[in-house]
Amino acid sequence: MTDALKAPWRTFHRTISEMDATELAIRLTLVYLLLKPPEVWFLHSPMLVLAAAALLAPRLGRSPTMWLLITLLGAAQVVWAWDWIDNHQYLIVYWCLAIFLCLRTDDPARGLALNGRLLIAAPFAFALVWKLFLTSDFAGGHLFRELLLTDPRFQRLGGVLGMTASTRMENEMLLGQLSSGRLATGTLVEPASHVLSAKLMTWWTILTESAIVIAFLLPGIRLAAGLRDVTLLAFCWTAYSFGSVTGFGWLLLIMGIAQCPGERKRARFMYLLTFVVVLIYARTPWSNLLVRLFGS
Amino acid sequence: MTRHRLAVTLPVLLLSLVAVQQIRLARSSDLTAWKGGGFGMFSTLDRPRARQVRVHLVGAGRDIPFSVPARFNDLQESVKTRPTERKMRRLGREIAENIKQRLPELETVRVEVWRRTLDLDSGTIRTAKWREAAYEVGGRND
Repeated sequence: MTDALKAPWRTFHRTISEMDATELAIRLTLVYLLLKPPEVWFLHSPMLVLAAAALLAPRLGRSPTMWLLITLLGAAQVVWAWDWIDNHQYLIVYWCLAIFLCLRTDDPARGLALNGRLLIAAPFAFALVWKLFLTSDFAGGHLFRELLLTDPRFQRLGGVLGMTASTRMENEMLLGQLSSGRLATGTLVEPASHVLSAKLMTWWTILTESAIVIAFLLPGIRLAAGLRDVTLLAFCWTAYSFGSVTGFGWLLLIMGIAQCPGERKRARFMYLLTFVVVLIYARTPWSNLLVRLFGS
Repeated sequence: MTRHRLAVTLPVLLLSLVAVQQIRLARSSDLTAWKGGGFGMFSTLDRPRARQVRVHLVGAGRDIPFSVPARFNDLQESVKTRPTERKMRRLGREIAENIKQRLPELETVRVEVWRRTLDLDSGTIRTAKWREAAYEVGGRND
């Protein structure tokens, strides 16, 4: 690394290392709100204004009143659009509420760390209940087989896992005819390799999500702290690698940082790096390169 | 209750209450598991992308498929993720109010929700009408 690059890197490294977990989590949450404001149009601009103001004036960012307003805007979206917004838009409201409540305590860092753990463990626990006990589509690998065949977000992964471009085009044409109403039924072509791949993806999901629930609910011993970082980072590196889903991933990483004290510098930087990696996954066609290298 | 205890219990308690309620609703109504704050995304094939809202304008002996304008996207999404008769009729009413000036012969707006299913053993994919409601222009709807 040249000297011209070393100096800014050192400054960045020192700033991040010395920043307390609460401050870092608050700033990242504000960045998140700027990147992922509410979808409901009349809440969109007010949230952008509040988040930008709190980011530009750090004292505002530590103000419970500011976080109460942000929480109320997020909650308004949940009330207004409860049955069609994504689950991470619920989760951000709980997280903003946690920030508001913790900033009113004597030790915000302790409260936010515990909230970070609970608000990571609980969604994964409910996700596992759905996957393992409330539907029959997931455990047998059916869900991932269907996603690989029909979901545009999984098409590039489908290509890496053995679907040829011509088969994909045939399937897409059929799906287009079904949605336009020109056809009512048809047959999709599925590569044999998808069956095993879908089973592996299913078991990897169950394994990582279960490990996250256990690790984040374990009491705060040193080994558990390491396990939390490893499981959450492994989930984010794999789960978001092909899907263009950033909201949930970023939020998990912010809460991961909140429960990661400054002494665990390496883990903190890994969370920040993963924040960028999730962005790269979603916004660059990196997986097209994989399809070219390994796809059929 | 101390402020600290409130701070660490209220958010996760709210999350759990909403999630339990979502499970109840998804199992007792047409709410998709993917939505509603219960974290059931990526658990079932019955997802919003497998559902489709189709609208037909009926009048003067004709039945015309209608492409729903983008301004109705929010309501259309809501109809797709939890198709209740009331919401479907509301979508029909809003569309009717929007276009009746240009289409005086409009009698009914029919809103349908279609659902796609896939039989993985045979690869057969099928789309079929699942829910339907109609808004009668100037008629009794509620």
